[in-house]
Amino acid sequence: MKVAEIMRTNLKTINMEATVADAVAMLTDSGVSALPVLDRQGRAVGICSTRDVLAAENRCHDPVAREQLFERTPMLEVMTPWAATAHPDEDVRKVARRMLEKKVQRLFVEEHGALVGVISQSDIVAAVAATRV
Amino acid sequence: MRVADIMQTRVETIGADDRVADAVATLADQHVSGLPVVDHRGHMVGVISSTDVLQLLSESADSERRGEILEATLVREIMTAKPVTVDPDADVHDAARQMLYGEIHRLFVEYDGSLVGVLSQSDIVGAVAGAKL
Repeated sequence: MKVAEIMRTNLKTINMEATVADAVAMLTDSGVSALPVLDRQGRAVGICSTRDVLAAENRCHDPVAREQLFERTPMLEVMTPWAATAHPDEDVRKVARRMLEKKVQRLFVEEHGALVGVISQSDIVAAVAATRV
Repeated sequence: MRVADIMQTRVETIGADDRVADAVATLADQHVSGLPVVDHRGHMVGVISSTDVLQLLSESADSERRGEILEATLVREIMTAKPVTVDPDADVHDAARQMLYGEIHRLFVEYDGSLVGVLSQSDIVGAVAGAKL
């Protein structure tokens, strides 16, 4: 099975200059667990997950630091830089191995340098559920 | 393949009467996105995820209150009660279906009323990567 068959293409994204408070609102409103972070040209530069936000929150020890984090810290500083990608024609098993090696929940799917989708561990589980893997 | 073949048996837990701040620290330290919640007798009564914590944080607009809210709120107040459980002998495809339909990232494995493990999406992705499924 190819990545293109199970990847998601309708993505919620966030700008790299948006604040942590913006990301929290977007994550909770849309019910997704992570948002691809885009630069001004619309290129994906990283991913901001609920886990990234909580890890940053856990490093704040007083209200001042928390204020700074939520209201003035841009995505660029809390996101996980975009490390691993997949190609739409790649085999899902190979991509599953890469996710585990890189310890990531999801990979961006790129074709000719453009972001065309995201494949997550949930998508692979869904394929197993449908016994397509 | 059975759930018991690929589940993790070392499971970090949090107390129902612990503060949400403690749960945040454990979630961050363990690099997990959800923890089983146990009562004083060690019985699992719920699950708390990073999404539950973000939901709580998003309800408060100012940073002074955000710190207080994490200290003042107990895990039992925001956990999801009665989490979905699975039998160690269940088939992995059925477990994947349960995750998919319940829109959950992990299933707690119970045997004879005790928590014996956790099956996460990563465990299923690992089985796919190893061509075991």
